[in-house]
Amino acid sequence: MRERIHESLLDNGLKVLTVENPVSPTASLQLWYRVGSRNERTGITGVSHIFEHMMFKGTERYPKGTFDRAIQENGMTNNAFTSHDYTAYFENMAVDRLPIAMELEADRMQGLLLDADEFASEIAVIREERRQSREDPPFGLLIEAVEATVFLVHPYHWPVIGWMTDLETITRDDVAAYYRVYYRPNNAVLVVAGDVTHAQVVDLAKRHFGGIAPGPAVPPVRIQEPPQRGERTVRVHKDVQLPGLVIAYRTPEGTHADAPVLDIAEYVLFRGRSSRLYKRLIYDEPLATDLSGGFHVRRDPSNFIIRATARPGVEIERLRAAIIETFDSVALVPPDAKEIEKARKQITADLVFGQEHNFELGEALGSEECRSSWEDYFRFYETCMTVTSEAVAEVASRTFTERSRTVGYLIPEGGSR
Amino acid sequence: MKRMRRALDNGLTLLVMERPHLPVVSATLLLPAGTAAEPEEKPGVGFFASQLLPLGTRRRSATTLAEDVDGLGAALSTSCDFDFATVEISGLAADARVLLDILGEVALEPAFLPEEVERKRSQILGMLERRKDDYVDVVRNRFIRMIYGRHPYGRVKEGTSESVAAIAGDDIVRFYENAYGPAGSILAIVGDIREDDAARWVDERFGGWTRPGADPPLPVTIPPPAAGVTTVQQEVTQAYIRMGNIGITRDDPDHDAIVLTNYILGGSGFGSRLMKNLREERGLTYGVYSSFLPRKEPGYFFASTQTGIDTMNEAITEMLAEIRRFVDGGVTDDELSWAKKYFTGSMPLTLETNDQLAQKLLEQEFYGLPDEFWLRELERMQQVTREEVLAAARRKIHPEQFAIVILGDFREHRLDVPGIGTGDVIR
Repeated sequence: MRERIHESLLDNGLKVLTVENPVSPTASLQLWYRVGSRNERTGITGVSHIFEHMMFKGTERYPKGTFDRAIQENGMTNNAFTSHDYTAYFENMAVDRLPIAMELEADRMQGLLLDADEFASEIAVIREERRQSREDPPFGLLIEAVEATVFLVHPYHWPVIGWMTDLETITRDDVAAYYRVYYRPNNAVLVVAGDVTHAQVVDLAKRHFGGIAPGPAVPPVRIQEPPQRGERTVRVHKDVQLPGLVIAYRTPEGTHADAPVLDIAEYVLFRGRSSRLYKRLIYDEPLATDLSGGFHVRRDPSNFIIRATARPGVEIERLRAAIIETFDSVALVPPDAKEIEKARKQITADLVFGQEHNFELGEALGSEECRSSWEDYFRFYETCMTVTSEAVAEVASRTFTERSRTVGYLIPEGGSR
Repeated sequence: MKRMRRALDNGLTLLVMERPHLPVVSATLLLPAGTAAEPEEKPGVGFFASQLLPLGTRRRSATTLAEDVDGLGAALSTSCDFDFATVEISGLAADARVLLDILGEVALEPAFLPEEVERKRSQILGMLERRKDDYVDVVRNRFIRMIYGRHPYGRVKEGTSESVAAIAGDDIVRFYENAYGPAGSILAIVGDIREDDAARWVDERFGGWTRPGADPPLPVTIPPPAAGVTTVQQEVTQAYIRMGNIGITRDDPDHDAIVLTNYILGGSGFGSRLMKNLREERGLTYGVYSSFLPRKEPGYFFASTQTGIDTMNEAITEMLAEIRRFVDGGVTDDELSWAKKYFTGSMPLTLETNDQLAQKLLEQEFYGLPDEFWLRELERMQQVTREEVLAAARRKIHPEQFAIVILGDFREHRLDVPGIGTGDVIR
């Protein structure tokens, strides 16, 4: 499949990445900006995500409402998502609509109105989004507290949606200044996956994006998180039925040689009913009602995280001990040949299934490209096919340590039910 | 795309679609063994049974089965919906035969060992506790109980803490023997597999399948509309709102008009009337949606949103006003035209993956829809007029008979919306 991926760089710095995937007469266009909460500072946290909203509020050429209308009339599905390292906008469509999506994305790269009334209304919507996604769900505030404890100085300290206090004070001018710095062709990657050829995509990209002037290089993020010297603990009390845990281990950045090995550790620990964590916590003992987690691959040093809810009557410390023992087990009892073979088969299947859907394919490559390079998508696969059990155990012994651990407790308090 | 439909002698229907472009295959077995097939006094037994299927067969223990499935890089899952249960497996095409064998073994030869029953019971009870903190779920469960009463569609599929605690191993075996059988079941296989191979393997694995049990119970009738308000006290930052009434069956003649109606009212995201009013103009919410859930028997229509508790009254007032305006005045030519264009343009996106195609095949067979119904419905949709949309909306959306459920922190805020009363407060 690698031979069906092509890249070009336009004169204004826009990178164009095409995945020629003629499995169905559709395409996914994704415009990735290399900006996320990582580029923010205290006082304007959440500003990257605000664009995910304001980018739909009209430009000089396409006033408010006309963008949505063009999307719907053409039967496209579209949305946007914001992460620590990137913000992406996408349109999925019948492939003959590709020029329309190109025009819409090129237009809002430069002509955004950022109307003051629209900003005031939308920031209220975002505060509701924060209440809905972070403040009411059982684990929302705990995950924020854990990340704020893992990262004391690096911008990964704050949540992508931003602190509520910043969402109450941020101004339209803060947002406009951010737009001028980061929304530039030289800070973006255009990904098209679908029933297209690279020549066709580059031709369209030149026509629609070619005239947009590049900006100065974006300011680098130099902040580095100092070393952690011991386990950290954080507690959140909430009106919930069952206690829960979030445990995070610090990890290196996505380009580090350990990163693909940690991806494989994720398969050994989390993937399938026979995985070590599922088998021990849900099946053998059983201590948890549910669990989820994995390696958060990011541009800067990141973390490996698990989230679990205790079964009724299970002591939270017992659950904590069992989780930590299972993480320790990767180094102490290295994955056997069967576990490694299983991970390889699962990863192979994932790679093939990932090609079924143009959106997923574009998303996988676009996110890798924003962290380092789309080639990492294949580096992971190649590492997996050659990695040894000893290598997994060795990386686990350096990563899953008491010193690099943060434990977050979700503690039920008397509710009204 | 090459397609095949074949009925086996035992009543199982086999559907195969060859898609050789990627070396993967998916197989889904749909059985008339959903919540609606449960005995009334055993709510949750259908879900319990479906969740036990992957936990051991007469040939393999739960642990061995998990190792074998994961070792193939495959995914095995089971589910229980109101009208049906499913067993689904997907993996690499080279393993197609093994995958079908595992699917057959899991669906036809479950062991229901007592220790697995207890293990799963503890997990379901834990999940039910945890879901009390999922307020959207709490509101949905109250809402369906209000509109369906004793009808099985009013149940929580997973059961209640009390009902799950009381389900015996024998209850599960009896439910399985009555509800899981070849008659009325459909097996859809899509992917890189040859029709004749699929047919031969399915004959070998499923040809001798019979159902030992009795017929499932006949469902009770759906009650008359239960207009009213229920409020649930909870210390949360938002108010969780849901309103609606009994809706349509999947084979309702108004189905295509209803799809267009709902798209314009609250089904199209940012372009919908509800979203324009509550989010775009008033900034009251992150999202507001409406939906029709068609089923074998009449499903339901609902509109839902979440908003700050201090804007709860405004949000409910505006939702009701917007829906009434819609039912009174209908849609414009312009709205109807872009809704039609949306469904035409987006059709290829709904036929992209093997799973999407398998779902279409199963939907067609299960609800008795015409062949390639998705194309026919699209054609019919183009003929729908404004008058038909208005008539469909008036027939199927009844704001004056809505059941309304609101969960929120009412300690310092009062429900105050003209015309809907203050509701029965549940704490």
